[in-house]
Amino acid sequence: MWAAILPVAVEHTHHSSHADSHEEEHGHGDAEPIIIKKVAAHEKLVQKMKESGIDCESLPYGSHQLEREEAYYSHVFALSSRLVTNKGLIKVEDKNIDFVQILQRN
Amino acid sequence: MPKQDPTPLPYGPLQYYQSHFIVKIDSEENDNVLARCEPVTKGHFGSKRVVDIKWTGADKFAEVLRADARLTEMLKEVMLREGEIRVDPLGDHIRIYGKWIHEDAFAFNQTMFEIADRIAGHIKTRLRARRNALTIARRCSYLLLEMKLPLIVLEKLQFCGKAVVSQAWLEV
Repeated sequence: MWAAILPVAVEHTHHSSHADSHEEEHGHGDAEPIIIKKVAAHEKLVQKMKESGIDCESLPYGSHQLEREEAYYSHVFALSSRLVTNKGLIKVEDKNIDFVQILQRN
Repeated sequence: MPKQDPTPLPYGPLQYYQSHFIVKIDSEENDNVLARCEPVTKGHFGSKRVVDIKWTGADKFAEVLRADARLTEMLKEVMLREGEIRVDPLGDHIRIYGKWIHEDAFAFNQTMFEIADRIAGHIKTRLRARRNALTIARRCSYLLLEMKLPLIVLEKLQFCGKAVVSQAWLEV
């Protein structure tokens, strides 16, 4: 779902095909394949953070203990979400913040 | 205006995301940094603006955050978008987060990052000072016990020591 809103890298080459209907429409056989590169939510955020001059790196999914916590909320506050999905963890260097975690609501 | 899915599924992930800024600190006093920030607004719709920031929370931590003028100024910039900021302590770490944001509007916000970093700075300063006070109190107790003084002298000295440490604790 996240990939739908991310910019995709599109590469065009000269040796494969689109659908046959396109060939008929345009009158040539050499169509171009479209390569879509999916970027994970936390990796996209890391790119933006680095552009802002923040030293950080994205960690692989599920590699840190924080991602394997039973709950991401203490539930002291009312209406804290219970069903959430971890979308990645970012390690931040040289700041008071140690990590940034992206969560998606279920 | 966020795009709404015309045929949403009755289950599965929704199109809402949240960034949690995490401070990793293992302290016995983690629960004392619970806090919540809400905006005080005037006007409606397009003319709605933040006029003040209201902090509520446990212990004196909310007062520390309220006293930070620079933090208040930065919060006024983002509170219309963020709605609410919570400082939520868990076992060995503390999470700082705002409300859920639709995927169309979800992006890195430099001001929100600076706010979270500033709050994290206050958390670390406070918890480290408290941890130091506790360490000093424990060392004082051990030293007094090792001196093998008569019981009555020991009790009086321990009482004085506790009073001094308690005073230091309150001032943190």
